[in-house]
Amino acid sequence: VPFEVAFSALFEERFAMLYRYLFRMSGDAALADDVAQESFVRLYQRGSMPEDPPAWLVAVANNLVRDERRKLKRRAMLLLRRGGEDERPPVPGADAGVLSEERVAAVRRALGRLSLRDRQMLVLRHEGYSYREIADALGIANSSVGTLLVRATAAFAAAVEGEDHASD
Amino acid sequence: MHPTEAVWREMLDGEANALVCRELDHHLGECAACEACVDALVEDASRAAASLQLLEARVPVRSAAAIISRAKGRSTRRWALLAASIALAIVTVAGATIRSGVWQRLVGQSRQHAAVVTRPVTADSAVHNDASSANRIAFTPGDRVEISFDERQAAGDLLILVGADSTVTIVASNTVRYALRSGGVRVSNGGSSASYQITIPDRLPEASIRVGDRVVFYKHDASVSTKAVTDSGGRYRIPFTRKEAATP
Repeated sequence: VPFEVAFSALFEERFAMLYRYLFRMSGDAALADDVAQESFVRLYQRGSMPEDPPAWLVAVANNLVRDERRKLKRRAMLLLRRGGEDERPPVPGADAGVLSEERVAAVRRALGRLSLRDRQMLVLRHEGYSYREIADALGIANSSVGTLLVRATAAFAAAVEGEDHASD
Repeated sequence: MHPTEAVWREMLDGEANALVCRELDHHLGECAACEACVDALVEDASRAAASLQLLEARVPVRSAAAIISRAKGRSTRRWALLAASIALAIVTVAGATIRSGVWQRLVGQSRQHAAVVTRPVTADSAVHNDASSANRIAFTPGDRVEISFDERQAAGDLLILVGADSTVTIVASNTVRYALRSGGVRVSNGGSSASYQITIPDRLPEASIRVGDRVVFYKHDASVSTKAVTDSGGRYRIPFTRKEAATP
């Protein structure tokens, strides 16, 4: 299969998944869009398919998000030193018209209590990534994914419950 | 023996193979503890999924073609940048070379303000300009040389030494303009009051020094014709004010 055809098929199949994963992780629609697109651009520039394309895309996206976070952090610190405020617009709610922004914020806070790896595992699994893809993307053993997912899920459920109690 | 939570989770996630799933199903029907464990796992997973669902996002419409176009455009820009960098490097190197040549010319011209030297038209003389001396010229002569001063001066002397040097050297006390040409050098001394010390190789077959239209010094092999007298240093001293001219 020519690379361009395989690339297009992968894009159709995986772009939305990658975008949703990134949005859930970051809460930033613009960032998720940029990073998801950039990940596919880099895959195309690679010129050939990696062994596990979905995992490769997630790994690249994670690195891009991390780089972006660093930039934002530096920018925020700079603004702080200058006595200004971050001019980045507030992140909109997922569906502000229907869902309570407070509820969404509570879920985000609960997610934020988990370690980065737990967050990534949980969201990737929720998005439908296989154990093998999660293991490849996060650089962990395939046999550990089940165990780690159980812990991450329990931790998240407890964190959400804690948020619910706090709001009551 | 009870399967671990991870094994149950793998089964729930559809990651366990068919054979393992059959065994787990069989165990689940007989083990209340594992049934409770699976129920708890399902509940946690459901709660987590429901919460994560709240973070649902509308996926923007993007096309593979647009991504490919973007990637290609970036690649083209990268090549263009690379080409521009190479071109810039070439221009820089070439420019430096040209500048070096231009610079040398400018330096040469600036020196000529002090003691302008034009290279000889023919190759019978090799120029050895003393870069540190703006009023000095030295060159290797052919078989004959004529040193020609444009005009008489109101002041100043010619001090001529026939020595063992292989080059003809003129050292002026003030700045004048020199022009090397085939068979000699022209000294544009108009308005000058400088004195000149001229060294002529004794092995040079023929040499003459002219001031205006008069020959004031002439050497042929070992014979020297001049009305000048030598000083204590063995130099022929010819004041510019003297009207006499030597005749070959």
